[in-house]
Amino acid sequence: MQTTVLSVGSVTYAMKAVRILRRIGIQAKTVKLDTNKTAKGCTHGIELATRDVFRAVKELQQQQIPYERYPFL
Amino acid sequence: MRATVYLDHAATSWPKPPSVHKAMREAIVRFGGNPGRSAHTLSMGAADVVFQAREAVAELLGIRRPEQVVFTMNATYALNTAIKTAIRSPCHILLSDIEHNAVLRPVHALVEQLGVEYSVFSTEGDIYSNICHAIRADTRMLVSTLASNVTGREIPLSVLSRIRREYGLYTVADASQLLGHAPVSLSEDPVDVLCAPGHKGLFGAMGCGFAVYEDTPPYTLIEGGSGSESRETGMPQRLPERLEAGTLPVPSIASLTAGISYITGIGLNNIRQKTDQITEQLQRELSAMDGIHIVGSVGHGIVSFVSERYSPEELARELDRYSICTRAGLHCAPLAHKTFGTQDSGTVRLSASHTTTDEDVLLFLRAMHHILSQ
Repeated sequence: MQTTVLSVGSVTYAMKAVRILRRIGIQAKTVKLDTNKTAKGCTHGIELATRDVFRAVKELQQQQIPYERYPFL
Repeated sequence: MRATVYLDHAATSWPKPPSVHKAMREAIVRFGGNPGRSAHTLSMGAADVVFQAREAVAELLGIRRPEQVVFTMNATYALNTAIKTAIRSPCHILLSDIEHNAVLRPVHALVEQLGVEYSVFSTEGDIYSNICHAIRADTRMLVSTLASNVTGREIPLSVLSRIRREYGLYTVADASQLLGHAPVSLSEDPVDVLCAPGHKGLFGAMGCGFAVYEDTPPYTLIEGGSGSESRETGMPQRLPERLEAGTLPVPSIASLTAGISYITGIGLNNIRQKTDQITEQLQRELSAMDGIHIVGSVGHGIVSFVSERYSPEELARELDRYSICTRAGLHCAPLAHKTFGTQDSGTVRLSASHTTTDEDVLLFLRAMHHILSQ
């Protein structure tokens, strides 16, 4: 399964994002991102199936969870 | 050996329910990693435990954003943070006349460090009008307890919220003695920050307090590792990491979730009803004893009194010989004692909870009769 990682900035927001997505049937998990690929250093994100990204992003926007595509493009 | 009669719940609740013991043990054994720091299972498990506690506090207080819940080591730390991260220049702060030193001392420190001025409003009569009359042109902050730790006097959150709405004051509520004794809703009565300990009415273990913020404060109190944005020299801008420098007390935080689950399972209205019944009985029986005088009003489990024959410390020591735990002295609240006229002697404070039994009350009253008849 192809997966995508979204950076959400902190472990707290990652935990929140995972729960929000679970409520709409999207499975995601909290991951720590590679420091050499982040501008500000240690940060957390969520990993989910690429097929769910569009729906997930829409939900995160509605719930005001800031996110960035990772690795940052 | 006598059974312990515990009437010191305003200092810390005891005994803790078995679910609290279990939650602490599990946090140590099963989720022993450092939350938010590493990528391994134990660290992620600990982060999940912490987030569950944020959700539990948010639900208890009726707010939708668990990330606004900031964990601290206790309520004093939460209050210091709330007060000192909002103000960096001279202004006027308004306090109630029944504040604990957890509020009075940080505000007094700002007097010395920043040239801040403060005054106190009376909690007698119409509290809303008293606050309105005490507001000055340079008043920027209102800090108030929701319930005294010396007597049963309460200050409604709705009054503080109304003042905040009408006057735009940065409003900090100290819910240390009310949370777990009565429902509190920040969605109905929002304030800028509400602070509380985990180990009193919420039945968590000592070592964890929290502050619930409406918005991110402009300053930080301490700085350090937060597990995020490590290359930045400043703390993260977003809550809760902005105000959570250093490792969190995960076992205590886990115990808080269990404690909240325990009290919400019983029901806050049921707890209030039971505690009120005990409080009224203690007041009635003590009032009938020769040479005993109740101080102020009673409520949320608290009855404070003085004796004509014994100092508060003497009486508390005598009660301890009967395995009855009470607290004597000024209860870290000299301002409140000044308000109640007991600043020289202090009081004996009984603080019951819904776990206090009829037998506990009977044993206490019997001990009092023995002591007073000697």
